[in-house]
Amino acid sequence: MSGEAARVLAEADQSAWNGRIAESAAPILGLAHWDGTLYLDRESILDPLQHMYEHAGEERPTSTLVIYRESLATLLHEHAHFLGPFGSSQEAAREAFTKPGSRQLEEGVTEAWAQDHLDEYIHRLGIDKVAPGIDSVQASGYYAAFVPAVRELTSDLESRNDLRQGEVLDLLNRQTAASQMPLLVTLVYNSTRLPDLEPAGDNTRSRLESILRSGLEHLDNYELAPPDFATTNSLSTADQILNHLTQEIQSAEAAYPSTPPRAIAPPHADARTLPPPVPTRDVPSPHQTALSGLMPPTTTAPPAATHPSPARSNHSSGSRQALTRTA
Amino acid sequence: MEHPIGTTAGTVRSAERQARADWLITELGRLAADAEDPREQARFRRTADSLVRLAIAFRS
Repeated sequence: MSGEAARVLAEADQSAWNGRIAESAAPILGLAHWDGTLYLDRESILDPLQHMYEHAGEERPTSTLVIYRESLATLLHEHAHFLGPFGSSQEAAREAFTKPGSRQLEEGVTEAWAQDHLDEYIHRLGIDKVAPGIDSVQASGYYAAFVPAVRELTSDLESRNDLRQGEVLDLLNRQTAASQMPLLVTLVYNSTRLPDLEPAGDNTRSRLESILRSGLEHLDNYELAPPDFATTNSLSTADQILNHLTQEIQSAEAAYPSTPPRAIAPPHADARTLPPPVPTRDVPSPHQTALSGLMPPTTTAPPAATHPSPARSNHSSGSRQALTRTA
Repeated sequence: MEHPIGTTAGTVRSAERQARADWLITELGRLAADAEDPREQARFRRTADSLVRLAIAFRS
């Protein structure tokens, strides 16, 4: 029931969950295993949920409601890991998950989406009746190294593709790791003039993917850091990724200086179905950045170290240094 | 067309990332066990969850 509710809520085609729940061993709290088994900690997840149903309908102190909510947040997060489109396989997802940047992207997407949809999940399962008041307490989220960057990147893509707020997160959340990064690259690429300019954009797409992967992998440096520090640097890294993408896109577009501008933009394509590359807006002037809302790339900023130590890499949130491409 | 040098570099890099994940899982387990604040403990454990998933993916 909990898995199907998550699948329906996410509008995903399928879940790889095999219906089995196993008790995890320390230090694991929750784990969506590649074999389809859901591992959950007894003391922190399973016992609180059992207690919640044993005392259904009773008033409980806020501290207890927070514990319930934390358990449900982990449950929804893990179920989200299992989601994918029709025909997707855990084997392909597992292999893709080991590639640079994939884990950071999936973890950030899964956690951000679970945070945003936890109340709706609770209501769909009727838990607001089982534990009255659970939807009025807060449980702060996790993965501060990944979530802010993913939110910033997806929010920027939503703006540039005329998608509603949260739509890119929703789209990514119903993919496995095998298709998340290709989708992200497609959304970046299709928001530029390049689909109209390039006969075949494979090389550009490959460079955009390298920027995204190396930038997301860089977030590893803040994984053990305190949440505030991790958040600041996660946002700073997202800024750097967006700047680097801007530079790459401008460079690619500069190879086609004589291309006449389009008189009329084509009808807006449905981004949900990810059609072949189609421009979605009028051609910008040569001085406009390809990524809206961003500062133009600087030509004097030195490249930042790709793998600084956590203790030495506290970039300010306004930093616009370009990431060194390593992939 | 094969790229033996690139493949070797990629293999080495994957091995390094796998070793990093293994080390971090151990470290996070220690940090979680030592943490007095339940929130901190949960933070370390949730971080470990992701790395365990990665470590399993590398070994499968």
